Amino acid sequence: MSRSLPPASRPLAARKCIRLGCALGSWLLLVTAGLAGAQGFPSPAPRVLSSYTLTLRHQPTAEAVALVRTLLSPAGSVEVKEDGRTLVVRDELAALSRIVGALRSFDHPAAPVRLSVRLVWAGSPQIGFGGAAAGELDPELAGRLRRLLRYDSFVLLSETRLEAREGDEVAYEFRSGYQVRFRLGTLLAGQRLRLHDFRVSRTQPPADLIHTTVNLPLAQPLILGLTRDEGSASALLVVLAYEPLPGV
Amino acid sequence: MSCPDWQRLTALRERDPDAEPPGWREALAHLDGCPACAAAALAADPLLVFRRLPRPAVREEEVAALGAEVLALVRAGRREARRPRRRGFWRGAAAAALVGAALLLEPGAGALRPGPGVTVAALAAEPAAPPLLDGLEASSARVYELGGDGLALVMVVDASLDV
Repeated sequence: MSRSLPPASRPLAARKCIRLGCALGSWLLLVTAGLAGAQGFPSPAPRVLSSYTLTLRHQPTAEAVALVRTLLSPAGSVEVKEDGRTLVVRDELAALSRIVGALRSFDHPAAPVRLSVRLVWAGSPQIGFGGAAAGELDPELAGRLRRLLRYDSFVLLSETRLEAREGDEVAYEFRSGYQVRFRLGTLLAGQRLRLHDFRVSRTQPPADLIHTTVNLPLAQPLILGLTRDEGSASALLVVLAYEPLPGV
Repeated sequence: MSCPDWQRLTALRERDPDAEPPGWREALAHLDGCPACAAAALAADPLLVFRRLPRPAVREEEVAALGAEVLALVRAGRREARRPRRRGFWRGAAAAALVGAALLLEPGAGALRPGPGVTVAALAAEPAAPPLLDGLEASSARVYELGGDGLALVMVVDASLDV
């Protein structure tokens, strides 16, 4: 015989059933707790941390520490010994294995890279660029910039190609009256190059325009645009690109 | 063409974003060549600064598939709401017992930790890609990252920049 409740009383009955179920569940919980206590289950095991020590041979300590910090688990830590070149990393094995691999790849001899730096004036044809242009900007790049920015006109002011090694300080003064300075960081897995203390300044009259750190991706050029406000009729674009050179 | 009334045009567009108010296209064409209009237009609608960003095309099939998924979720929700609740007793009992057993019998009981072999390890496997520019947080500059079209583009906007 099937037992059915009148529709009006169903919600009440359902609530009663749930309450009864919870009560039975609590009772089962207490019984399980009692059994667990009687049998003497072991207390939770503390996390096992392993340590790894590496003395850096080639790359800067500060960058190595920064890299390790991005890979540590919440239980991990990194310490620099008194010599300033030895790292002691403590972490769980899974995290430590990743850190060891990353550090080994990171601490390579200073690698040569070729950098390209272009300065571009961007504006509208109505305003026009008053100075001397160094040449035509690559039409493909100009087309892509037109699609992304509100400017129609792109004038190449200066360009240079530089060869340097990781860790080198680079300063280059362009004829167009600008100077670019930076220090090359470490190539991370060949995919990203950090430019520390990246500064663009004007030489006449002298004025610093920007001071920052640039993370330069390998796959595509980075365009750094500088302008006074969102509605400015012109902007200075710094187009940066790099490629690793053979000879590591 | 004389400079259009940007306040009026943007107000019309806000009322009905799908429709173009009369003279809108001409106004945009005028804006591209009129420095005086740039400030007025952006003051009326700051989103105009992005007007040349490429718009990703969405195909009709994608819209239809999305609609079907939403409909299925709505129906499933209704079915769930209609389901009789006679099994509430056994569900409550089983859930409470399972939670209790799990808390008591697992090593490291009571501690919050990631599930078995889970994603925390996977997520931390590669360092997160850093922003293209670091260290401008303290300055008054506004930084826009406009990636796309094979370029990484960062615009730094600061009233003190005399380029």
